[in-house]
Amino acid sequence: MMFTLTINNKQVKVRENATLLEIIRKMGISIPTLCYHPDLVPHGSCRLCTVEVSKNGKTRMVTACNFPVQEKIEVKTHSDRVIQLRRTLVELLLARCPEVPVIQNLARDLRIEKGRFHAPHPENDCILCGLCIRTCNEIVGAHAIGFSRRGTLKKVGTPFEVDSDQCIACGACEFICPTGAIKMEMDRARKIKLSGTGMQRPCRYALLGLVDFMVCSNGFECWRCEVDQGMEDRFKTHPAFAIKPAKNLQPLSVAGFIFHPDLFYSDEHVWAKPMDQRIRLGIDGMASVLAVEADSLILPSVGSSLRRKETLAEVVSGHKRVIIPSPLSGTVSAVNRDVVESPNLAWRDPYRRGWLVMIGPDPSEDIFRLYSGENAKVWFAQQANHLAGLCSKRKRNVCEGQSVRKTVRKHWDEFVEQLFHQGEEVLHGK
Amino acid sequence: MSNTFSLKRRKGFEKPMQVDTNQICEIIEKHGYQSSALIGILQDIQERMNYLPRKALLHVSRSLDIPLTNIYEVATFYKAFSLEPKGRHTLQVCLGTACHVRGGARILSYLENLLEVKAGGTTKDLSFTLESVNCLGACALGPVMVIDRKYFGRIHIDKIEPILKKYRDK
Amino acid sequence: MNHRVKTISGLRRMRQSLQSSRDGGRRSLAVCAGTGCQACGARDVVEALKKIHRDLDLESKIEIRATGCHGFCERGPLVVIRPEMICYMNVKPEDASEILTATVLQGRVIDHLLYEDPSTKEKIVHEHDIPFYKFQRRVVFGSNGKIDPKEIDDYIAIGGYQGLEKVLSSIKPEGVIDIIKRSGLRGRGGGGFPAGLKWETCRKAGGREKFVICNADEGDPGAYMDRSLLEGNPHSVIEGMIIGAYAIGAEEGYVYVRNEYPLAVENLRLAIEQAKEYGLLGQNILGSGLNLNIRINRGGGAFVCGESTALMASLEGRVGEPRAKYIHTVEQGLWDQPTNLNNVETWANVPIIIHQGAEWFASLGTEGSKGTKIFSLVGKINNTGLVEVEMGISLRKIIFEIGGGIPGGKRFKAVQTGGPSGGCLPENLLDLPVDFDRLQEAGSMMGSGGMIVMDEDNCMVDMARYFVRFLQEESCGKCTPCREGLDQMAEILNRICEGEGRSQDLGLLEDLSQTMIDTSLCGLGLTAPNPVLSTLRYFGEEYETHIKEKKCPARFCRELISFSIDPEKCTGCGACVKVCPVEAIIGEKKKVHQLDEEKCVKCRGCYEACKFDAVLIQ
Repeated sequence: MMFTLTINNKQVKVRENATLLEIIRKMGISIPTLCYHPDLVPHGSCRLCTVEVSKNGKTRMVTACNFPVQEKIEVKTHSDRVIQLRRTLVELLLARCPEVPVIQNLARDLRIEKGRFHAPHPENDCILCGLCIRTCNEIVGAHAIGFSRRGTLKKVGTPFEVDSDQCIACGACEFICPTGAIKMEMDRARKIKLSGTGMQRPCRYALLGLVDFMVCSNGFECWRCEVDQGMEDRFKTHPAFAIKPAKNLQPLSVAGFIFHPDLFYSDEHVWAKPMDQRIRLGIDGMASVLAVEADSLILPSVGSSLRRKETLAEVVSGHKRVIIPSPLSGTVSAVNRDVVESPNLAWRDPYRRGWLVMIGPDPSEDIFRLYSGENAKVWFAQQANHLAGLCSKRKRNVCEGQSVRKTVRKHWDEFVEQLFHQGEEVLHGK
Repeated sequence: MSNTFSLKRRKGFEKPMQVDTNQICEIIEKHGYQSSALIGILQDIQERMNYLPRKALLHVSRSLDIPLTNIYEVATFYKAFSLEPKGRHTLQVCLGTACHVRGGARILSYLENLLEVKAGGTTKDLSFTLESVNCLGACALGPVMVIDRKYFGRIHIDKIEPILKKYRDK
Repeated sequence: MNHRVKTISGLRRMRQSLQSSRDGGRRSLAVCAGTGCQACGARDVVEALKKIHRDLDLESKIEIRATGCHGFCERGPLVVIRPEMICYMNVKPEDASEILTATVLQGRVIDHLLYEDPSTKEKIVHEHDIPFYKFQRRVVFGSNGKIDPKEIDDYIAIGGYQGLEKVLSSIKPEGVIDIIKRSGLRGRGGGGFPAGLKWETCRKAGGREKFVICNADEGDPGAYMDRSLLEGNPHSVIEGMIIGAYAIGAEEGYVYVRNEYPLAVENLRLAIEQAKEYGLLGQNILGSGLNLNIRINRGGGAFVCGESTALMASLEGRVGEPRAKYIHTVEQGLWDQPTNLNNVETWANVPIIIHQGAEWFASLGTEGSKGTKIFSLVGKINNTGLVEVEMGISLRKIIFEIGGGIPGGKRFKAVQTGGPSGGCLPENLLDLPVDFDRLQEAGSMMGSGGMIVMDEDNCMVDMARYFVRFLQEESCGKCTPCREGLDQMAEILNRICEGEGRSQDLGLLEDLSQTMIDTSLCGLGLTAPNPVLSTLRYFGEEYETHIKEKKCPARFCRELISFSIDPEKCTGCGACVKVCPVEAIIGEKKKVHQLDEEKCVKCRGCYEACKFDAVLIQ
């Protein structure tokens, strides 16, 4: 669907799921941002992209970076009110970080000669935009840094403020930081080298998944490394950002069936997730539709041993029932009480709250046998489309609203057949 | 910026308590292994161990596959959690509005003087942790002081010492 | 034993049998055992009463019940004897035997435990004649005194779960929403959003699952009605939530309750267990096909979690950081699914509306604000406690008739409503009716119902600073205007209180306030300037005096006052010497004392301890 809206008195037609900031920037209008990056989920924390939006005579201030466009809104990006607000915001940031060039430039652009607020810690250079944290989580996937505390005391750092063993020293946070608050410590590199464990430490590009396994041979002095130079030349940006699609962690929907990346999937329509020394199992987005009206869900008891192909779960729905076989062998160490108590949770939230059991896997088990990564996605899409095709030629969203109950009741046998008895044929036959 | 948790000090503090991973496992079990129960899990650990030992947080992080950064963020965001051992008794002074207008802040500063700690701190002998809280909902009794969940209402400065004495030796 | 009630008519039969076994005329004695009264020793009173009850074998004569909060916390522990409604106050364990022997056995009223009217010195016997109760309209809160919150049978016997019965047997979900809409019920948590409309949007929203949430993260300092409701009548909240879940189509419910309220958590946990046992929660409730599980989540201690998106983040196990609400939580809330969040008092109103009808409810209150509202009347007021009044009643009536005015003959100065997001209203607005819209027009808000009364000794600049500091500590720190703005605001207010204020500071405060209102991410930030703006609006001259004359008119701000002892009035009693924490006062007994200004930390301890007004503040 397309929307028509007015920006600074100019009419534009835009896609439904665009954000205001993208459109404004595309029109060549410049508004400042500090916490926005096109590759990251908008945070909406710096508030500098605040614009004035009017609809049906009502005016309000919204942040352009995360405001979903609506039909017939009137947007003003540089009204007097907006400018006044932006100035005060920059003054506030200037009081926080008076020495930071980015903020000083913003102040100059907005013709602020001298901030009206007192700066108690002039040496401060972090504006808490969270870009580094989001980069580390969403792009690198290392989860090495995060916020701590709250309010005025909020800051960015590693847990317990000691060196994080999650950090792969990729430097993406330093790259993205707008104020230069994060600095790679070259001393740290030397420390790793001297610590003994350092010599086995893989290159940061290997840890990013960009090159095959490679142990550093330059004593972590990346500036002397050919690979490093080569990477920089190749991507013209920090390499972490170049591999972004591979690390896309957002769940996606195929014909209404939800798929979660980062999990392992089996032909039995069971997903698996390694956790510490155990594996969590649950039914995937397709098989979960069978639990939509489940009256009970029978799971193995804690302590019992489960063999591959044996019953992992039995879903009872009216007088229909279906057995879901286990893809792996192991000893059941935990059972999800919530899903037993309310069986349709396996349908409502199959990947998070609706998991089934946790097993301590047999040593012989190899989880990598299951589908993962791109393979999983391809397999899932194929299966999901096929399943959707059973009830509608157009393969529309099967899981939508109330109709899903009707669909499942009507197509129960076909679904069960498709999901649990023909898995391999479908996959290899077509 | 000043680093409030110095590494040395925390290590020294961790010694008195050996972190029993079985206890942590039990708590995680009780909460049904749901990662959404993180706050409840941390509350229970805090209750049982009097603070959140680093090892315990690492254990929770591994067992529930929650990044340590998230756990650390939660543990430092909410007021209920402490990363350092607390005193044997928790002494809370209510600074809700009703207590404020009846002089709650004065009670707090008196206690800070008396115990030689700032609000949020623990006395050297580990007998008391002094905290300020935002309204305990006992406004009729303001100013209110609470020791280990026992309420002392309409508290006066001269009533405080005798009360503390009873607890100090326990 | 299996108590599960399998059908709707089964519940009805159960209620009837409960009611007939507890014949109405039987006497009962209710001891308030809310947190307030417990802090005054209510538990010991209950124990003493029960012991004598056993010893004298009074089982057939009277039953003893420890109930939730009755509201009159100032005079706790309270004892009420039904059906006469004899009300005893400040009861001590030693009074137990007299109460049972004299009043219960001989029908004699005990004079010294009665309420005494402060002006006429007249003793009042019956609860409903005491001015504190007389002007209240206790629709939601009234049942607190009748039931033991730990007994589901008590609730059922007074007509509990009748609303649910009615809904499940004869009303469609849309019909329930229609009733709530027609009743005009608005959210009691702060914003005052029409509850029916919220339910309707949530019902119509797509999504795989829906949630109902009860917000019991009562963070507003000075408000504790939600706690008292949960402690005293948890089933009313649960019943409200079940009805809500039925109307919206939710299968899971959460109660997010402050961990600082252990008794509320305990009573609620018990209530949920009992409701489950009776088949009122769980799968296939009363055979109707409705499923609902309610869970309790204890808050971690963050005021911002009262904000809906922050609360939901907290329920998901994350930090309580709000997110932008351009897409509402009724469409995408908890786990990104449609979620309906109401606060405790709102939920507790629901069964009553269903039972008594939308028209009855809508007949209470004003045009825009229907029903009643519970306020916690605290601060410099004679009758501290919880009061439930019909909407539209004037502030004056609440403060002076129900609240009994200001203690110590001091002058009323302001009343603060709406917690840290609200504002301070001056004397000339005392006739303002209590109503969502009128309070908002006056620059304050209903909030969750805190009503903090201040007298002439309270400095309004200090009050503004108090709230700003509170919010500064409670801000999550995500967005710039709230985090940095509150920081700067606190600094400006602080320097005004310390006599370092500058002439341009007031303009700066207003500018800052506007920026915070317009650009803050969540409700906390955008209402944070209210305490400052409302005090600037109504008590601007107090700010001016602080800045220009470096004086605090209320003689409160430490840096602007000095203490001394009036030799004319000092009797040398030594009371001040005893309370001084820094030994700044010296003097022998019976001789005029002296105060060393160098040592004095201006804590006001001596000022309040002196019975002869000999401590002077300048």
